[in-house]
Amino acid sequence: MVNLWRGESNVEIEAALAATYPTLQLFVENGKRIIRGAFNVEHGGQFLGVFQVEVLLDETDVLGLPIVKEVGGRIPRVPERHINRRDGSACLYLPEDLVMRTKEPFGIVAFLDGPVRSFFVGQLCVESGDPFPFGEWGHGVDGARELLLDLFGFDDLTLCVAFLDLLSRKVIKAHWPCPCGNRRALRDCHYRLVQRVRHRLSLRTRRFLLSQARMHLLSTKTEEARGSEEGAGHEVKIGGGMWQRNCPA
Amino acid sequence: MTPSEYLSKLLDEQTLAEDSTELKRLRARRGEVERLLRDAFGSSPTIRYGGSKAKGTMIKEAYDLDVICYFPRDDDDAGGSLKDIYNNVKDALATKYVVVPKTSAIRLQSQNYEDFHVDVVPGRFVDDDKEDAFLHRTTGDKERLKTNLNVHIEHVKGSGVVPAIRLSKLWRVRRGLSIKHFALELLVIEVLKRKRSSDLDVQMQHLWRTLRDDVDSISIEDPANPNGNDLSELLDDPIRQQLSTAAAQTLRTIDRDGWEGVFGKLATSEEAKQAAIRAAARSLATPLRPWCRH
Repeated sequence: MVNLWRGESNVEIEAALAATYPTLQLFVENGKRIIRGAFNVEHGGQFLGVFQVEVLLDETDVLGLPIVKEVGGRIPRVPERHINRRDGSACLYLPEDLVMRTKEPFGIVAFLDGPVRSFFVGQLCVESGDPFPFGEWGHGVDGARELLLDLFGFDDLTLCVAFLDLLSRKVIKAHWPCPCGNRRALRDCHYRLVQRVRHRLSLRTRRFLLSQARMHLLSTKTEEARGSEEGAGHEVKIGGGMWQRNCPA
Repeated sequence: MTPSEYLSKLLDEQTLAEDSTELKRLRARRGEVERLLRDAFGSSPTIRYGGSKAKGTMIKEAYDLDVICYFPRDDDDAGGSLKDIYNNVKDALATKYVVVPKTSAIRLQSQNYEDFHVDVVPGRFVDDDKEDAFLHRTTGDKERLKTNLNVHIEHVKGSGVVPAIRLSKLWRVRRGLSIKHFALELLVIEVLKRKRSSDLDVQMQHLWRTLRDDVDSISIEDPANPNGNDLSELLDDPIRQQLSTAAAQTLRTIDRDGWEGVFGKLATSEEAKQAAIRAAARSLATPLRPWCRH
């Protein structure tokens, strides 16, 4: 379990906001903490844009980080702008990517200075006709595949899970079979790749990537199964025998 | 550049030109809304601009177009009660837009929840003069309020402090303050009623000092119905406290960094602004790519 949120008391959060983000304010409503107000984007003393936001401190994502919503209606809720249609929450980052880049847990100011600012600067770029300055991850599982492709050089989720499974162990022996499945020992196969990833990422990060990859693999298989069921019709059991009926429904 | 010149230039930047994309889009949207309402209710309602567009207090940073839709006193086609009128207008608009009910207005958003900056205000004229109107209220104790659009427009336009109102609106949006625009307008007019002839920077500093030091003494009343409409909930204790804190911070910022510390450097052009956005992107400490869960 990875938790990138450094717990801060309400008093600490209020003090941090007053000092660094005075246009944001902490509210406690029904026992839940919400930061609300204007998120201003400035650079070099020039004002570039303002977004009305809510930061839900007690509703967190897989990394334990707060959910951020743009509530002023400035950004349309479409996948191309990385806002969830259902609840208006912003997809600031790919969790796997953030874990790989983050050394210290975030406090509120670091979170606003980092992922939140990055997201809204990107939105200003798009509004002014530029693309997102650092690109975008593919939606859903595709984003995870892109990251794994960059990490391993392949994006087959089953294969990635096998490698991450190996990489999630504290000890890795060179004589163990290579996870790629070609029946050779690791030292005669993908040993350098495994060593490279092992040196690049902490054990905690590798284990997080494994849990995420497993989740993506599961959702992909579920989708495929659903797709094949829909495509091939469904089986109907009659009198103990099986026969197939094509059913568009 | 003197503070007053700086603030005037800032307001120039915030002015939506008649041929600006934003205003053209707003006008087109207003046309769509009017067609939709006419299709639903025929020629009986009076449909016209209200809000900041009519009052001359619009700013680029937060421009909303109020479209009033008032029905004649004796017309029940849109509903027998004010609540019926409100709901029927809302339902008519919901056939094309995402509608967000507000206190007396209906905010329109696209199917993707993008704000169209258009609020429709349904109501019914009190009499055949078509001046005073009753609006339905979705919150508060009273179910209706009496208003008069022309009185509101004249109250603001004739206040002599329209530039200060516009600057206050800019301050409000950039500070994320929860006071309603309508209440802020009335508050600025009230606080500056003896400062009309002062320079803009003097007016603003007077406003913020009053908010910082004497916020509880300020009272606002609706010029269209001074004794009837209770505006206390628009200026309750949490809002007063928020205004006071923000005003104190703003005054400190002026002392420390000057006026640019409050409103930023003036943008020389759209190209310069785009260059600044790109520079902001390059300087990010944590450059991240956005993702989408689904």
